[in-house]
Amino acid sequence: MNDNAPRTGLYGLMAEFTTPEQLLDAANKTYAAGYRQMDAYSPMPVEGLADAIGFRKHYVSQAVLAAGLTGCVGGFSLLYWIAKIAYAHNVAGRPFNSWPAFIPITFECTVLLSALMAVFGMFAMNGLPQPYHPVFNVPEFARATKDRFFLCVEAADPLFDKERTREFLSTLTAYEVADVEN
Amino acid sequence: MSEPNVLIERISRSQRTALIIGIVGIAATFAGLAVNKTQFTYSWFYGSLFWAGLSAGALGLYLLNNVVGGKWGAIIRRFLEASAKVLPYTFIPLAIAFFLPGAMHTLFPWVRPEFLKDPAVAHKIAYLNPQGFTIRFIIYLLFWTFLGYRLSSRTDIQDKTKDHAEGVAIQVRMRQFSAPMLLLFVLTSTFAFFDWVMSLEPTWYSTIYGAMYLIGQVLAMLALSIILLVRYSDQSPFKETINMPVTHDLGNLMLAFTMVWAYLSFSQFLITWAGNLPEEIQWYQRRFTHGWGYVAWTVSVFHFCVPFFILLHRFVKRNPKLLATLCVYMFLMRFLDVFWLSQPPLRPELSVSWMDLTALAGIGGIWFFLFFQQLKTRPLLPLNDARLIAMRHEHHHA
Repeated sequence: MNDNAPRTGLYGLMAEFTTPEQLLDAANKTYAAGYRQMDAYSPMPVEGLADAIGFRKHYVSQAVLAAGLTGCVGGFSLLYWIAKIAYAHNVAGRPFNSWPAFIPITFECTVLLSALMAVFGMFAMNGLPQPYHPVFNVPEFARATKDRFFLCVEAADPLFDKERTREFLSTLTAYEVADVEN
Repeated sequence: MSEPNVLIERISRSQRTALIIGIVGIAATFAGLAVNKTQFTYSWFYGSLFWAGLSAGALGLYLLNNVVGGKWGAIIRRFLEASAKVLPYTFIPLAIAFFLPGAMHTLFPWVRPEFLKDPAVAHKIAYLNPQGFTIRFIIYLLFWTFLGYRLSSRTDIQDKTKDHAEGVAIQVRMRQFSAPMLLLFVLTSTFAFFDWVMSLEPTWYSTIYGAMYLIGQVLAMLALSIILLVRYSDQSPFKETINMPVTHDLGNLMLAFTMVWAYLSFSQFLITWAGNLPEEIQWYQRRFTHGWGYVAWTVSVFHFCVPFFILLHRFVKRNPKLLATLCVYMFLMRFLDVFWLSQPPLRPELSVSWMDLTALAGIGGIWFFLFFQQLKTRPLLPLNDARLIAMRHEHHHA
């Protein structure tokens, strides 16, 4: 997509719900109806919602594991290199490769790289920060941080049809269904 | 309400099996007393120490959950209560281990006259003497009995109340009671494990020891609770209450306690290793030589590394059967760790006697008999716990 081109047209349809149970139920039904390009918005975590919209596989945990192992091996190697190769000093007759003494630093490096990867990997894979998002064009959406629950089916979905999707969403106990302009 | 009877029937069957194992095991071990009294003392001490520690671990975990909250504690509460209420009975085998004529002399060097000349021991005699040991033994017994029975009587009252607000108020009062009691419990158990295990080597000391030992037994109790929970999960009342997030929470706690155990164990090792003082390192020298080194490495790898990497996986924590299998494995590892902690000063050369196994199985059999008895007499889940009511509600919607 050319980011400089003015965005026009319909981004999707957004259904508004008053309770998390309704949102979860609607998400399950929408997924069952074959829609895949959708997102749910809620003021608090709703158990099972990510699964319901088909968000099953994400790579943050694998990335964190890889970063943690890198930190573990890197931290230990760093100390091994310092204590045994670069600055080999005899400390109270202990062996140069005094591995028990290396463990705290190894542990800290593991935690450090894991934590950094967890935060920044999450941002990168989320696509955050995102200064502009079409869903904010719906005035009611401001309540997504307070007391309302939203499900947005995006126009990019192959099954998306403005009339039929609207009809479908209105069967889902939605409080209101709004057009989301780009 | 016919369904809970299936579970009660199952528990009764396990109880009968446990009683048979218990009687046979204890009879066999006492037969060993006639053959080799020293070995009997070592083995009996090991067996009674493990099961007493398991009950103490239950009390610790119970107090901790009362303070910090969490649904996981509500769902395993009856296991913890039953285990904590068996704690007074575990003092009977412990008393046999310590107070059988000559036993204290066999186990603890600080009662032997030749050790009193050692300056490292001499100045500890004000604390380490048979009178003080006995008085403290009684204090631990009374205080821990009070804690277990007092708290579980509160939840009995909660079971009977009809008023939701009253149920919540009992929860709050239990939290207020448990916070200072947790502090006192960790202190008393630290001294208990100093007395019972650390003083096997009176020249040596480690201030982290009590916490390290206790956390190990908390881990064992958590593993046992998960095993029972998964075993009973196909029946009412667990069937309509347990949901995936709570078993996932318990799996995460297994990971956390495995890591805390490793953290405390390694901290003690690292400080001792770095200090490199003759009277401190002998504790590890004893445990890394004469065959004990194999046990040490087995415990490091199979009690920490292996379960750590397995428990990192989400699918293990989300699969109750798999999680319970891992918990059985961890429980077996606890046998090994307690053996490694308590036995090297008694038998410098690594050896396993048949009496170790019969004492562990025999005392364990009676422990389970009493544990299941406690479990049977009360509803298997607290009746008016707000957390469980909320979970049952979620279950209906899921």
